[in-house]
Amino acid sequence: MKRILLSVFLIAVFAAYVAFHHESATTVYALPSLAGEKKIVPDGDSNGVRLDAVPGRPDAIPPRSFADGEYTGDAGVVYYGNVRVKALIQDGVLVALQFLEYPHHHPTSMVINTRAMPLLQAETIRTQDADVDIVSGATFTSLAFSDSLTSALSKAAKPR
Amino acid sequence: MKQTRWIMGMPITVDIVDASATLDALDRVFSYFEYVDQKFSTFIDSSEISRINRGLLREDQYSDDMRQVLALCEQTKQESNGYFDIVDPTGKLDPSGLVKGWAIQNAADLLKSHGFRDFYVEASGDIQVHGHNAHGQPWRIGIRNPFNPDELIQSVEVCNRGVATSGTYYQGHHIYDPRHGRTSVRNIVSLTVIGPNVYQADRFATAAFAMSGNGIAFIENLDGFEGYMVDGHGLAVKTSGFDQYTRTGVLA
Repeated sequence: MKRILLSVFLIAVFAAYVAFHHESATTVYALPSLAGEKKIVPDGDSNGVRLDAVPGRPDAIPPRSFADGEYTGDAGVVYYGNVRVKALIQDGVLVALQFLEYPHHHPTSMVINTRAMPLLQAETIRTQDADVDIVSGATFTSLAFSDSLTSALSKAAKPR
Repeated sequence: MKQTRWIMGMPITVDIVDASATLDALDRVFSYFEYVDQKFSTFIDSSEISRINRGLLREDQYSDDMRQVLALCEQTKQESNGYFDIVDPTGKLDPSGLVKGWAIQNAADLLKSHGFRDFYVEASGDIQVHGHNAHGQPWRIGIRNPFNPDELIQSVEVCNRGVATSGTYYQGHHIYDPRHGRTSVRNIVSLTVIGPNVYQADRFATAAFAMSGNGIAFIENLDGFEGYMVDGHGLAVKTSGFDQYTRTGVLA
Protein backbone atom coordinates (compact mmCIF):
# COMPACT_ATOMS: atom_id res chain seq x y z
CA MET A 1 0.00 0.00 0.00
CA LYS A 2 2.79 2.33 0.90
CA ARG A 3 4.45 1.71 -2.43
CA ILE A 4 1.27 2.41 -4.32
CA LEU A 5 0.76 5.66 -2.47
CA LEU A 6 4.33 6.65 -3.09
CA SER A 7 4.04 5.85 -6.78
CA VAL A 8 0.93 7.90 -7.16
CA PHE A 9 2.55 10.72 -5.26
CA LEU A 10 5.66 10.67 -7.38
CA ILE A 11 3.68 10.73 -10.59
CA ALA A 12 1.73 13.70 -9.36
CA VAL A 13 4.82 15.63 -8.34
CA PHE A 14 6.79 14.97 -11.46
CA ALA A 15 4.13 14.85 -14.11
CA ALA A 16 4.85 18.42 -15.06
CA TYR A 17 8.48 17.67 -15.55
CA VAL A 18 7.86 14.67 -17.69
CA ALA A 19 6.64 16.75 -20.56
CA PHE A 20 10.02 18.40 -20.39
CA HIS A 21 11.90 15.22 -20.96
CA HIS A 22 14.30 15.32 -23.82
CA GLU A 23 16.05 12.24 -25.09
CA SER A 24 15.65 8.56 -24.46
CA ALA A 25 13.00 7.20 -22.19
CA THR A 26 15.55 5.83 -19.78
CA THR A 27 17.51 8.92 -18.83
CA VAL A 28 17.99 9.17 -15.10
CA TYR A 29 17.37 12.54 -13.56
CA ALA A 30 19.42 13.97 -10.77
CA LEU A 31 17.25 15.19 -7.95
CA PRO A 32 18.00 17.36 -4.98
CA SER A 33 17.90 16.02 -1.51
CA LEU A 34 14.59 17.22 -0.21
CA ALA A 35 16.31 18.07 3.03
CA GLY A 36 18.09 20.83 1.16
CA GLU A 37 21.52 19.24 0.94
CA LYS A 38 23.81 19.14 -2.03
CA LYS A 39 22.89 17.28 -5.16
CA ILE A 40 23.55 13.57 -4.77
CA VAL A 41 23.74 12.33 -8.31
CA PRO A 42 26.79 13.83 -9.99
CA ASP A 43 26.64 16.23 -12.90
CA GLY A 44 26.91 15.04 -16.47
CA ASP A 45 23.21 14.52 -16.81
CA SER A 46 22.43 17.66 -18.66
CA ASN A 47 19.50 16.46 -20.69
CA GLY A 48 16.81 16.75 -18.10
CA VAL A 49 15.35 19.35 -15.90
CA ARG A 50 18.01 20.47 -13.48
CA LEU A 51 16.92 20.60 -9.90
CA ASP A 52 18.82 22.91 -7.64
CA ALA A 53 18.81 21.86 -4.02
CA VAL A 54 17.49 24.67 -1.92
CA PRO A 55 15.57 24.65 1.32
CA GLY A 56 11.90 24.88 0.52
CA ARG A 57 8.95 26.07 2.47
CA PRO A 58 8.18 23.40 5.02
CA ASP A 59 4.53 23.27 4.00
CA ALA A 60 5.27 23.31 0.30
CA ILE A 61 7.72 20.45 -0.05
CA PRO A 62 6.89 16.75 0.00
CA PRO A 63 7.44 14.50 3.03
CA ARG A 64 11.08 13.66 3.48
CA SER A 65 11.09 10.11 4.66
CA PHE A 66 10.67 7.21 2.24
CA ALA A 67 11.60 3.56 2.50
CA ASP A 68 14.77 2.79 0.51
CA GLY A 69 14.38 0.97 -2.79
CA GLU A 70 13.21 1.33 -6.36
CA TYR A 71 9.57 2.06 -7.04
CA THR A 72 7.78 1.92 -10.35
CA GLY A 73 4.73 4.09 -10.65
CA ASP A 74 1.50 3.32 -12.43
CA ALA A 75 1.14 4.91 -15.81
CA GLY A 76 -0.16 8.43 -15.47
CA VAL A 77 -2.10 9.92 -18.31
CA VAL A 78 -1.18 13.31 -19.63
CA TYR A 79 -3.29 14.59 -22.46
CA TYR A 80 -0.93 13.54 -25.18
CA GLY A 81 0.14 10.18 -23.84
CA ASN A 82 1.19 8.06 -20.88
CA VAL A 83 3.90 8.60 -18.34
CA ARG A 84 5.50 6.03 -16.09
CA VAL A 85 8.40 6.64 -13.77
CA LYS A 86 10.66 4.65 -11.53
CA ALA A 87 11.97 6.30 -8.38
CA LEU A 88 15.14 5.47 -6.50
CA ILE A 89 15.10 6.11 -2.77
CA GLN A 90 18.37 6.14 -0.82
CA ASP A 91 18.60 6.90 2.87
CA GLY A 92 14.95 7.83 2.89
CA VAL A 93 15.43 10.44 0.21
CA LEU A 94 14.38 10.51 -3.43
CA VAL A 95 17.63 10.67 -5.37
CA ALA A 96 16.77 9.75 -8.94
CA LEU A 97 13.90 9.32 -11.32
CA GLN A 98 13.86 7.12 -14.36
CA PHE A 99 11.34 7.66 -17.10
CA LEU A 100 10.14 4.27 -18.30
CA GLU A 101 7.43 5.61 -20.52
CA TYR A 102 6.70 9.04 -21.78
CA PRO A 103 5.05 10.51 -24.83
CA HIS A 104 7.58 11.30 -27.52
CA HIS A 105 5.69 10.44 -30.67
CA HIS A 106 2.98 13.07 -30.56
CA PRO A 107 3.96 16.13 -32.63
CA THR A 108 3.23 18.56 -29.80
CA SER A 109 5.29 16.79 -27.21
CA MET A 110 8.02 16.20 -29.76
CA VAL A 111 8.38 19.89 -30.39
CA ILE A 112 8.31 20.72 -26.72
CA ASN A 113 10.69 17.97 -25.75
CA THR A 114 13.31 18.59 -28.35
CA ARG A 115 13.37 22.35 -28.33
CA ALA A 116 12.82 23.65 -24.85
CA MET A 117 13.22 21.14 -22.15
CA PRO A 118 16.93 20.58 -21.84
CA LEU A 119 17.29 24.20 -20.82
CA LEU A 120 14.67 24.51 -18.11
CA GLN A 121 15.68 24.53 -14.49
CA ALA A 122 13.62 23.58 -11.47
CA GLU A 123 13.85 24.53 -7.82
CA THR A 124 11.70 24.46 -4.75
CA ILE A 125 10.37 27.90 -3.98
CA ARG A 126 11.63 29.69 -0.89
CA THR A 127 10.63 32.88 0.74
CA GLN A 128 12.84 35.85 -0.03
CA ASP A 129 13.52 38.77 2.17
CA ALA A 130 13.72 41.27 -0.59
CA ASP A 131 13.52 45.01 -0.76
CA VAL A 132 11.60 45.60 -3.95
CA ASP A 133 10.00 48.52 -5.75
CA ILE A 134 7.01 46.67 -7.17
CA VAL A 135 5.36 43.28 -6.74
CA SER A 136 4.06 41.02 -9.49
CA GLY A 137 1.55 38.30 -8.79
CA ALA A 138 -2.05 37.69 -7.95
CA THR A 139 -3.26 39.62 -4.94
CA PHE A 140 -6.43 39.57 -2.96
CA THR A 141 -7.05 43.13 -4.02
CA SER A 142 -6.87 42.06 -7.63
CA LEU A 143 -9.56 39.47 -7.10
CA ALA A 144 -12.10 41.38 -9.14
CA PHE A 145 -9.91 41.55 -12.17
CA SER A 146 -8.78 38.00 -11.75
CA ASP A 147 -12.40 36.89 -11.65
CA SER A 148 -13.03 38.74 -14.84
CA LEU A 149 -10.08 37.20 -16.59
CA THR A 150 -11.01 33.76 -15.34
CA SER A 151 -14.55 34.12 -16.55
CA ALA A 152 -13.27 35.45 -19.83
CA LEU A 153 -11.22 32.36 -20.39
CA SER A 154 -14.01 30.12 -19.14
CA LYS A 155 -16.27 31.68 -21.66
CA ALA A 156 -13.65 31.08 -24.28
CA ALA A 157 -14.35 27.36 -24.07
CA LYS A 158 -16.06 25.98 -27.11
CA PRO A 159 -18.45 23.06 -26.86
CA ARG A 160 -16.72 19.94 -28.03
CA MET B 1 5.65 61.10 -7.66
CA LYS B 2 3.51 58.06 -7.04
CA GLN B 3 -0.21 57.48 -6.91
CA THR B 4 -2.57 54.52 -6.79
CA ARG B 5 -6.18 54.62 -7.95
CA TRP B 6 -8.85 51.98 -8.32
CA ILE B 7 -9.93 51.68 -11.96
CA MET B 8 -11.17 48.73 -14.04
CA GLY B 9 -11.84 46.87 -10.80
CA MET B 10 -8.20 46.86 -9.78
CA PRO B 11 -5.55 49.04 -8.17
CA ILE B 12 -3.43 50.92 -10.68
CA THR B 13 -0.18 52.57 -9.60
CA VAL B 14 1.87 55.10 -11.49
CA ASP B 15 5.28 56.14 -10.17
CA ILE B 16 7.30 58.81 -11.98
CA VAL B 17 10.83 59.36 -10.67
CA ASP B 18 11.70 62.26 -12.97
CA ALA B 19 11.91 65.58 -11.13
CA SER B 20 9.63 67.04 -13.80
CA ALA B 21 6.75 64.77 -12.74
CA THR B 22 3.43 66.54 -12.26
CA LEU B 23 0.04 65.62 -10.94
CA ASP B 24 -1.29 66.48 -14.34
CA ALA B 25 0.85 63.76 -15.91
CA LEU B 26 -0.48 61.23 -13.42
CA ASP B 27 -4.03 62.39 -14.12
CA ARG B 28 -3.60 61.81 -17.83
CA VAL B 29 -2.50 58.25 -17.25
CA PHE B 30 -5.41 57.50 -14.94
CA SER B 31 -7.80 59.16 -17.37
CA TYR B 32 -6.54 56.87 -20.07
CA PHE B 33 -7.35 53.81 -17.95
CA GLU B 34 -10.82 55.20 -17.34
CA TYR B 35 -11.29 55.62 -21.08
CA VAL B 36 -10.21 52.01 -21.64
CA ASP B 37 -12.59 50.81 -18.95
CA GLN B 38 -15.53 52.66 -20.52
CA LYS B 39 -14.74 51.15 -23.89
CA PHE B 40 -13.78 47.57 -23.08
CA SER B 41 -15.46 46.61 -19.82
CA THR B 42 -18.03 43.85 -20.23
CA PHE B 43 -19.43 44.96 -16.86
CA ILE B 44 -20.45 48.35 -18.22
CA ASP B 45 -23.65 48.18 -20.29
CA SER B 46 -22.80 51.26 -22.31
CA SER B 47 -19.26 50.16 -23.20
CA GLU B 48 -18.48 49.55 -26.83
CA ILE B 49 -17.75 45.88 -26.21
CA SER B 50 -21.11 45.45 -24.44
CA ARG B 51 -22.91 47.12 -27.32
CA ILE B 52 -21.08 44.90 -29.79
CA ASN B 53 -22.11 41.86 -27.77
CA ARG B 54 -25.73 43.00 -27.79
CA GLY B 55 -25.57 43.33 -31.56
CA LEU B 56 -25.99 47.10 -31.53
CA LEU B 57 -22.87 47.86 -33.55
CA ARG B 58 -21.90 46.68 -37.00
CA GLU B 59 -18.28 45.88 -37.64
CA ASP B 60 -17.81 49.00 -39.74
CA GLN B 61 -18.94 51.03 -36.73
CA TYR B 62 -16.20 49.74 -34.42
CA SER B 63 -13.74 52.31 -33.08
CA ASP B 64 -10.10 52.17 -34.11
CA ASP B 65 -9.06 51.00 -30.65
CA MET B 66 -11.63 48.22 -30.76
CA ARG B 67 -10.42 47.07 -34.17
CA GLN B 68 -6.85 47.09 -32.95
CA VAL B 69 -7.61 45.11 -29.79
CA LEU B 70 -9.69 42.52 -31.64
CA ALA B 71 -6.95 42.12 -34.24
CA LEU B 72 -4.37 41.66 -31.48
CA CYS B 73 -6.60 39.07 -29.81
CA GLU B 74 -6.83 37.14 -33.04
CA GLN B 75 -3.08 37.38 -33.52
CA THR B 76 -2.48 36.11 -29.97
CA LYS B 77 -4.87 33.23 -30.57
CA GLN B 78 -2.84 32.20 -33.60
CA GLU B 79 0.49 32.58 -31.82
CA SER B 80 -0.67 30.54 -28.84
CA ASN B 81 -2.11 27.71 -30.96
CA GLY B 82 -5.62 28.55 -29.87
CA TYR B 83 -4.99 28.72 -26.13
CA PHE B 84 -5.87 32.38 -26.06
CA ASP B 85 -9.46 32.81 -27.16
CA ILE B 86 -11.86 35.63 -26.32
CA VAL B 87 -14.97 34.20 -27.97
CA ASP B 88 -17.41 32.37 -25.73
CA PRO B 89 -19.76 29.58 -26.84
CA THR B 90 -22.54 32.05 -27.61
CA GLY B 91 -20.23 34.13 -29.77
CA LYS B 92 -19.78 36.99 -27.30
CA LEU B 93 -16.41 38.69 -27.00
CA ASP B 94 -14.42 39.39 -23.85
CA PRO B 95 -10.98 40.79 -24.65
CA SER B 96 -10.14 41.65 -21.01
CA GLY B 97 -7.37 39.04 -20.99
CA LEU B 98 -5.48 41.22 -23.43
CA VAL B 99 -6.76 44.72 -22.74
CA LYS B 100 -5.04 45.04 -19.38
CA GLY B 101 -1.51 44.60 -20.72
CA TRP B 102 -2.31 46.64 -23.79
CA ALA B 103 -3.61 49.52 -21.65
CA ILE B 104 -0.59 49.47 -19.32
CA GLN B 105 1.67 49.52 -22.36
CA ASN B 106 -0.16 52.46 -23.91
CA ALA B 107 -0.12 54.33 -20.59
CA ALA B 108 3.64 53.84 -20.34
CA ASP B 109 4.07 55.01 -23.92
CA LEU B 110 2.04 58.08 -23.04
CA LEU B 111 4.50 58.95 -20.25
CA LYS B 112 7.42 58.30 -22.57
CA SER B 113 5.97 60.61 -25.19
CA HIS B 114 5.78 63.32 -22.52
CA GLY B 115 9.52 62.99 -22.05
CA PHE B 116 9.61 61.02 -18.79
CA ARG B 117 12.47 58.59 -18.50
CA ASP B 118 12.22 56.82 -15.16
CA PHE B 119 8.82 55.47 -14.22
CA TYR B 120 6.59 52.47 -13.94
CA VAL B 121 2.93 51.73 -14.53
CA GLU B 122 1.45 48.80 -12.65
CA ALA B 123 -2.07 47.35 -12.71
CA SER B 124 -2.75 44.58 -10.21
CA GLY B 125 0.67 43.01 -10.53
CA ASP B 126 1.33 43.53 -14.23
CA ILE B 127 4.09 46.05 -14.74
CA GLN B 128 5.84 48.17 -17.32
CA VAL B 129 9.05 49.77 -16.11
CA HIS B 130 11.13 52.38 -17.85
CA GLY B 131 14.60 53.57 -16.91
CA HIS B 132 15.64 53.32 -13.28
CA ASN B 133 14.21 53.65 -9.79
CA ALA B 134 14.70 56.56 -7.41
CA HIS B 135 18.15 55.24 -6.44
CA GLY B 136 19.29 55.13 -10.05
CA GLN B 137 19.17 51.33 -9.96
CA PRO B 138 17.21 48.93 -12.15
CA TRP B 139 13.66 48.50 -10.93
CA ARG B 140 13.41 45.61 -8.47
CA ILE B 141 10.30 43.52 -8.89
CA GLY B 142 9.28 40.84 -6.44
CA ILE B 143 7.29 37.77 -7.43
CA ARG B 144 4.57 37.05 -4.92
CA ASN B 145 4.31 33.69 -3.21
CA PRO B 146 1.13 32.15 -4.66
CA PHE B 147 0.64 30.34 -1.34
CA ASN B 148 1.04 33.42 0.81
CA PRO B 149 0.36 36.90 -0.57
CA ASP B 150 2.52 38.48 2.15
CA GLU B 151 5.66 36.77 0.92
CA LEU B 152 7.96 36.98 -2.08
CA ILE B 153 9.66 33.99 -3.68
CA GLN B 154 11.81 35.73 -6.29
CA SER B 155 13.01 39.15 -7.18
CA VAL B 156 14.21 40.39 -10.54
CA GLU B 157 15.93 43.57 -11.67
CA VAL B 158 14.76 45.12 -14.90
CA CYS B 159 14.97 48.27 -17.00
CA ASN B 160 12.63 48.89 -19.94
CA ARG B 161 10.81 45.59 -19.55
CA GLY B 162 7.32 44.31 -18.94
CA VAL B 163 6.53 41.81 -16.22
CA ALA B 164 3.22 39.99 -15.86
CA THR B 165 2.02 37.14 -13.70
CA SER B 166 -0.89 34.92 -14.53
CA GLY B 167 -2.07 32.97 -11.57
CA THR B 168 -4.75 31.50 -9.46
CA TYR B 169 -5.34 31.22 -5.76
CA TYR B 170 -4.11 28.00 -4.32
CA GLN B 171 -7.56 26.82 -3.41
CA GLY B 172 -9.50 29.17 -5.57
CA HIS B 173 -10.07 29.93 -9.17
CA HIS B 174 -8.83 28.17 -12.19
CA ILE B 175 -8.19 29.40 -15.66
CA TYR B 176 -10.00 27.41 -18.27
CA ASP B 177 -8.08 25.47 -20.89
CA PRO B 178 -10.17 26.17 -23.99
CA ARG B 179 -8.44 23.59 -26.11
CA HIS B 180 -9.08 20.61 -23.90
CA GLY B 181 -12.29 21.56 -22.16
CA ARG B 182 -10.89 21.39 -18.65
CA THR B 183 -11.82 23.78 -15.89
CA SER B 184 -8.87 22.87 -13.72
CA VAL B 185 -5.48 23.12 -15.34
CA ARG B 186 -2.79 20.84 -14.09
CA ASN B 187 -1.97 22.40 -10.81
CA ILE B 188 0.07 25.37 -11.98
CA VAL B 189 -0.58 28.22 -9.56
CA SER B 190 1.58 31.05 -10.84
CA LEU B 191 3.39 31.90 -14.06
CA THR B 192 5.44 35.08 -14.32
CA VAL B 193 6.72 36.30 -17.66
CA ILE B 194 9.36 38.95 -18.32
CA GLY B 195 9.21 40.33 -21.85
CA PRO B 196 10.20 43.30 -23.99
CA ASN B 197 7.04 45.05 -22.82
CA VAL B 198 4.07 44.35 -20.58
CA TYR B 199 1.63 43.87 -23.44
CA GLN B 200 3.72 41.00 -24.77
CA ALA B 201 4.46 39.60 -21.31
CA ASP B 202 0.81 39.71 -20.25
CA ARG B 203 -0.76 38.06 -23.27
CA PHE B 204 1.82 35.29 -23.33
CA ALA B 205 1.58 34.77 -19.56
CA THR B 206 -2.18 34.34 -19.94
CA ALA B 207 -1.84 31.93 -22.85
CA ALA B 208 1.00 29.98 -21.24
CA PHE B 209 -0.92 29.63 -17.99
CA ALA B 210 -3.78 28.00 -19.90
CA MET B 211 -1.25 25.51 -21.27
CA SER B 212 -0.58 24.31 -17.75
CA GLY B 213 2.74 22.48 -17.34
CA ASN B 214 3.66 23.03 -20.96
CA GLY B 215 3.33 26.78 -20.62
CA ILE B 216 6.88 27.27 -19.43
CA ALA B 217 8.14 25.45 -22.53
CA PHE B 218 6.08 27.80 -24.65
CA ILE B 219 7.83 30.74 -22.97
CA GLU B 220 11.23 29.10 -23.31
CA ASN B 221 10.70 28.92 -27.06
CA LEU B 222 9.83 32.62 -27.36
CA ASP B 223 12.80 34.82 -28.13
CA GLY B 224 13.20 37.67 -25.68
CA PHE B 225 10.94 36.19 -23.00
CA GLU B 226 11.75 34.50 -19.71
CA GLY B 227 9.40 32.81 -17.29
CA TYR B 228 9.04 31.50 -13.75
CA MET B 229 6.34 28.90 -13.14
CA VAL B 230 5.20 27.60 -9.74
CA ASP B 231 3.13 24.45 -9.34
CA GLY B 232 0.79 23.39 -6.56
CA HIS B 233 3.58 21.53 -4.75
CA GLY B 234 5.74 24.62 -4.41
CA LEU B 235 8.10 23.53 -7.14
CA ALA B 236 9.23 26.18 -9.59
CA VAL B 237 10.54 25.84 -13.12
CA LYS B 238 12.35 28.73 -14.73
CA THR B 239 13.44 29.33 -18.30
CA SER B 240 17.11 29.09 -19.20
CA GLY B 241 17.67 32.84 -19.27
CA PHE B 242 15.61 33.80 -16.26
CA ASP B 243 18.60 34.20 -13.96
CA GLN B 244 19.98 37.05 -16.05
CA TYR B 245 17.39 39.12 -14.13
CA THR B 246 18.04 37.73 -10.64
CA ARG B 247 20.68 38.55 -8.06
CA THR B 248 21.56 34.88 -7.95
CA GLY B 249 22.18 34.93 -11.66
CA VAL B 250 24.27 38.07 -11.47
CA LEU B 251 26.40 36.72 -8.64
CA ALA B 252 26.76 33.25 -10.15
